[in-house]
Amino acid sequence: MPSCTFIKPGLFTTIQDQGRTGLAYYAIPRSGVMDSNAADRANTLVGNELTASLIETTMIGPTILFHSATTIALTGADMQWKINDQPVSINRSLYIQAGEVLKSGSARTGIRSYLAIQGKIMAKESYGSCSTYSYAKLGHNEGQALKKGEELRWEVIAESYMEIELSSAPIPRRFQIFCGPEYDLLADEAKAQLVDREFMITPDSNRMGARLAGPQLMLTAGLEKSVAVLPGFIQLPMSGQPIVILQDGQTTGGYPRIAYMRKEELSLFNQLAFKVPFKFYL
Amino acid sequence: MSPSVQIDKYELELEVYETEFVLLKKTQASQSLTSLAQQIYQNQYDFVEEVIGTESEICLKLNKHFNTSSLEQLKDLKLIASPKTTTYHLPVLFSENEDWAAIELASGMSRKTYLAKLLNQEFSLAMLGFLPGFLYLNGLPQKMAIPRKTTPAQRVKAGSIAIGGQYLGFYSLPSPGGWQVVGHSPIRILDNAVLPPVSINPGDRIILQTITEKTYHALLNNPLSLIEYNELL
Repeated sequence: MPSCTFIKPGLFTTIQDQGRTGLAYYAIPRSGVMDSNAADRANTLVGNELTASLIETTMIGPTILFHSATTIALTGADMQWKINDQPVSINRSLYIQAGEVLKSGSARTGIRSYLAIQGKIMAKESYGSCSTYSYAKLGHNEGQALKKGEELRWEVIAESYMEIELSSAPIPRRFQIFCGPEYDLLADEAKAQLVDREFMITPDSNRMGARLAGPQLMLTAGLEKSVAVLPGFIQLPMSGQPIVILQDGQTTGGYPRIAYMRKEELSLFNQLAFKVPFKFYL
Repeated sequence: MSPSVQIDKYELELEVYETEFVLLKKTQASQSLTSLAQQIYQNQYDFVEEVIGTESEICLKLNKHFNTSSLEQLKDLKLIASPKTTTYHLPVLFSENEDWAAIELASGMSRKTYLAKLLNQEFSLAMLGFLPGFLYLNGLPQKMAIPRKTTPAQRVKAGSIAIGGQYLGFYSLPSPGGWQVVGHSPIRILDNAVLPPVSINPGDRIILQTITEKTYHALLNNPLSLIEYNELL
């Protein structure tokens, strides 16, 4: 079976797919790719189904030795990828030969990059999905990131190579939000600050949630009971610093849900680097 | 005011957030939404991607099949008689240290008094949420409610039993947590290899049972599920 070896795993490189659905009832988050637009593009470029699992890299990508020739595609963040030291483009199908090394630099635009390999990656499934979810040890590698020296194998389904190039949207600095169920618990001043002032993602963020720094948003009241939350929901703890619930996020929370982002917007938001100022608009 | 909707015996407030999600909020404080959430989940409506049931509302995450007439299907829902609830004993090693100082301070009770009351109480599973295998249990008397920590602990051990406001909680997974820990259970509540991953259902009862350190370690080395443990009793 064709394979490759991770010479360097990168900062946080995981197997992801479209996630496990229908399990939030049991408090199991969907997980899956953080930028579904980029992941879909990568799978399309190699001729895979959109449901195929692929490799998600975060901020610093891996170095991979391919033991077999195959069609691959790189999308999402521009990680200054090279094949045998020759720069290669993102957003197009690439043919890599056996013995060649794919190597990433650090992310220039965006923070998450996708590597799709033509065929079916052999990865462990939990509840019908290979998506890595660290907290509950679900998916490939019992929920752990890919490791140094790890070999990944894939099954060839249909071999083909088409020269395709797709374009990607630039990462915006303004994100559309909608009023959440507890929007009206925001003080009047906070409602104005939410759209007028700049926020940034702080480095204590992860796949569960993006913590935001910005103006301290005041609430007129808190919540008595925990309520449902979904990826894209913006929660506001009493500290006044909002948290955007992401793909591995919890399914209930005790803080007012002041706003929410749609899935497409969340894909773009998930490419935003730490400490980059941005604004919300309603 | 949000429009109201009648589903079986439930009078609910309906809030629709575009084509993204729907909230069904309860209007009568005394009514439990547990059976309704379970029925909606089991009915597997084609327009519903996720069902999250909490004490005050049911959240339905919508998918691309949702259209203006989708919600009509909910109105035709008939509640199948709610399943029988089961009572389980949960063995706990109550520790001396942990967060007892905060509990004694907030409740004005000694550790011994508070513990005696905990052991005398019957709890019921209010909801699942937060993280996989986390249990929110109802049944804590008002005067035993303890505020959450102002700064959450970085890491709460798997198996921790803790008080958070009016809830008693069980942590299946290690995680950061703001609840006041009273002890630990060696019982395995979460099993990722099976569906459902948690065998206890909302409405089921839990009675805490104190165990010795020796029993705790024996069970920890040979972990049992809640059902397996109760079959041994």
